[in-house]
Amino acid sequence: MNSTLPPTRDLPPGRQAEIRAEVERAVSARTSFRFAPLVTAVTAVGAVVAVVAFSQPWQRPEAVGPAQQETTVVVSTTSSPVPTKPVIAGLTPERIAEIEEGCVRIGPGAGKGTLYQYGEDEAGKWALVYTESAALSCTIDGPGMPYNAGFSSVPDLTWVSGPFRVDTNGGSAGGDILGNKEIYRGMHGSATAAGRVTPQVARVTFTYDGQTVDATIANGTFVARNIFPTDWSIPEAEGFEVRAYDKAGALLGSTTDLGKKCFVDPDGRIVDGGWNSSDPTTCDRAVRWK
Amino acid sequence: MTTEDPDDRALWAQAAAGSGHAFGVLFDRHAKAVYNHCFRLSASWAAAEDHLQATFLLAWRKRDRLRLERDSALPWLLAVATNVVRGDRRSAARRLRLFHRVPVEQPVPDHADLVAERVDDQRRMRELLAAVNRLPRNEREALALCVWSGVSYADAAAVLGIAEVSVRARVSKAKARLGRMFAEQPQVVPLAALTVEDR
Repeated sequence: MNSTLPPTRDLPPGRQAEIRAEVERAVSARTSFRFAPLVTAVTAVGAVVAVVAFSQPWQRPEAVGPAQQETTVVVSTTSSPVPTKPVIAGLTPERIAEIEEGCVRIGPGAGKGTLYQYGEDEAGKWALVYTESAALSCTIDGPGMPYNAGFSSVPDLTWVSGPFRVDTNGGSAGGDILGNKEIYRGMHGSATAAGRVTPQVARVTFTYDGQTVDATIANGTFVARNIFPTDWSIPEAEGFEVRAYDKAGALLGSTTDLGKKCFVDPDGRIVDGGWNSSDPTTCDRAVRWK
Repeated sequence: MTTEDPDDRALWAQAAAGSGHAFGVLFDRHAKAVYNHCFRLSASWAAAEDHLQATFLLAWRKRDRLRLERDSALPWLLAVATNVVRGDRRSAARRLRLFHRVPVEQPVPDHADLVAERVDDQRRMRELLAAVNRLPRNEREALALCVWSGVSYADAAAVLGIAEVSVRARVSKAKARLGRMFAEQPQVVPLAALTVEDR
């Protein structure tokens, strides 16, 4: 008889993500039930939302977007989910509240902000904040401005269009390029892509201007920051790519593919992508985010 | 500073306040350890998947009754898993009595080396459990927690609600009994603590 304890093993490929998704679904259902009276149904029919991907030019050294501006058609949305509180380590509740308030004030100017990610890198401090209808890529404690935010409208936070959705993207040239103000000297250039992911996503990469970085993934969101030299300028040719992978390293999707698709909720209504002429039966199913 | 890796206590506090995502992070952190613990108690990888899910659902239901005193939620999760497996075993026994038959070997498609390895794991674990199940339940659970899953005596004492010295005594007795059981075997049940993964 071989009485050696069998080795420790991973779950079969994909099973951990499946079980986690099932657990999160059950957990979310219970949360929704508990707070059901507080849920507000939000319906928007036929609204066309122009997405402004970047903040005003005067707010940045040279604020130019690495990606094309997007236009998103929202035909209809369903009930908003009950938001769960993101986990932010290392910041006091007071500091989190300051960031949420500061980023929203400089960004859309209205709405209740919720901080989903916060970090620091060579280009400075950054935060990802969501309101009920917008995603904000915010820089903090920059020269001359305590907060600065580029933001994009998000059709419906309930749904993610596929394995991930890029909700906001933008960039800043380096502080040493010709014509920049003195206060920006020595600042690194940066390009940021941020958005939401489904639980099966284990890795997100962001490629821009020939440089690829891994995103940080937390609280159901991702933030990828490509940092460039201080004399880096926004390239003439625009375009970027974000890719998502599962734990086994399999590609789940890329912006190149997802950008061509439309997505529907379980009722068959288009919640993202496509245009008025899109046939919902040709769309993919959106994934519940929260 | 980044937003990665908040500790279990922070995550648990968030989960207790209703954050499904914080709970999901705890799941990712401890799923593998709980999965392997469940396997060691059931000798079935397939059942361990079900037990893993049931463990976290039960933990969620109990979340507001627990204030995490330790750095890691794992010992408590393993204790919950132990209860889940025990409860399932009781249900299985009832079904067994009802149907008067036991599926000794679950049919597993033999299409890959991975499957063969897992089938072999299950056979070995069944043999081990056959011996370990002859121990008193309290010794068996202390052994599974502290020896097989590497939980410290102090943490095991906290989640079992007994004194640390009692845990040590149970583990010691379990080892001694197993040592006698396997005295005639060329190999013995591993009695050294194993490193717990993903803590």
